[in-house]
Amino acid sequence: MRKIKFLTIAVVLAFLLSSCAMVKTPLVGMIYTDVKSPVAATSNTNSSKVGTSSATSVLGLFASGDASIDAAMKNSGITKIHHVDEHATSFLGIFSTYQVFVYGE
Amino acid sequence: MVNNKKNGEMCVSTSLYCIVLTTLFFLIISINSFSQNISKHYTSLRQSKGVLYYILPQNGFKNKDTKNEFIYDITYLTENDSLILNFSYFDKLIREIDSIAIIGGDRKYISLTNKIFIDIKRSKWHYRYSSNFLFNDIKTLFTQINSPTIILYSKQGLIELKIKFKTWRKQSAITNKILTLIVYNK
Repeated sequence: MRKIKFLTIAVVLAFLLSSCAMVKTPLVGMIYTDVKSPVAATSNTNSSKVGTSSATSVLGLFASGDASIDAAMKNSGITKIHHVDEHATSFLGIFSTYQVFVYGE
Repeated sequence: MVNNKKNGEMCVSTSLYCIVLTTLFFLIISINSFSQNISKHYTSLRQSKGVLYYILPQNGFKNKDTKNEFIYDITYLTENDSLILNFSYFDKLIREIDSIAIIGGDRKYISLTNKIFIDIKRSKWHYRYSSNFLFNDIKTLFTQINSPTIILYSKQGLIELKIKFKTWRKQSAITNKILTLIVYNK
C-alpha cells in the first residue's frame, strides 16, 4: 500500500516537473518562464507599426495558433521589417504561450 | 527498524517537497493575478523619432445577441497626437465596416476605418481594420469607471459591442496605467 502511495506521488511529481509543454526560449524555467528574446534585426530604420502573432500549448498535448512573422506582419499591415522579438511564457509546463513581435513600417 | 526509519525520512522529504512546490505554485499564481504587472501588457521601442509603444491585444467586447467578438490593440508613437487602434471583428455575415465609434460617458469618439485584411477563421469572417484616435481622447476614455460601448458602422447596419463591467474595470486599470506611464515619459 505504501509502495503504491509512493509510486503515485513519484509519477505525479515526475509529470509536474517534466516540463511537458516546452516552449521555444533561450532560458527555460522548470516552474515558471517569462522570457523576451530577439529573433532578427534588419538595416531598416524607424518603425511606426507593431504586429503580434501567437500560439498556445496546453499540457504539451494540445498546441494551436499561428506564431509566424507573416501573421504578425499581416495583423498590422507591416511591409518593411525593422526587427523581430519573441516572448515565451510557461507555467509548470501546463500552459505555455509563444508570441512574436514584429516592428516595422 | 532501519528500513522503517529510512521510509519515514523519505515520506517526510516527499511531503516537504510537495509543500514547497504547492507554496511556489500559489505564490506565482498570486503574483500574477493580484499584482498589476503592466510590463507584460505592453512593449516600448526607443527610436530617433520618439518612443513607439504597443499595448497588446485585449478582448472582452462582444455583441449581446450574436456573441461576435471584438479584439483591439493600440500603437502609439510619442511624436504624434493620435494613436492607431487596430481591431479584429468576427462575424458570420459579410460586412463592409466604414467607421468606428466609442461611446464613453457622455462623449462619443468617431474614426474612419482602413481595411487591413478580411480572412476566414473557422465558420466566421475575420475583419481586420485600423482606426485613428486622439491620444488624449483615449486617455480620457480609459479613466472612466463605466464600461463604454463600441459601435461599428457598416453598409449592412450598425454593430453594437459591449463589455462586462468587471472585465472593463480590470482592462481600463491596466491600460490607464500604461497611458499614464507614456505621458510621464514624454
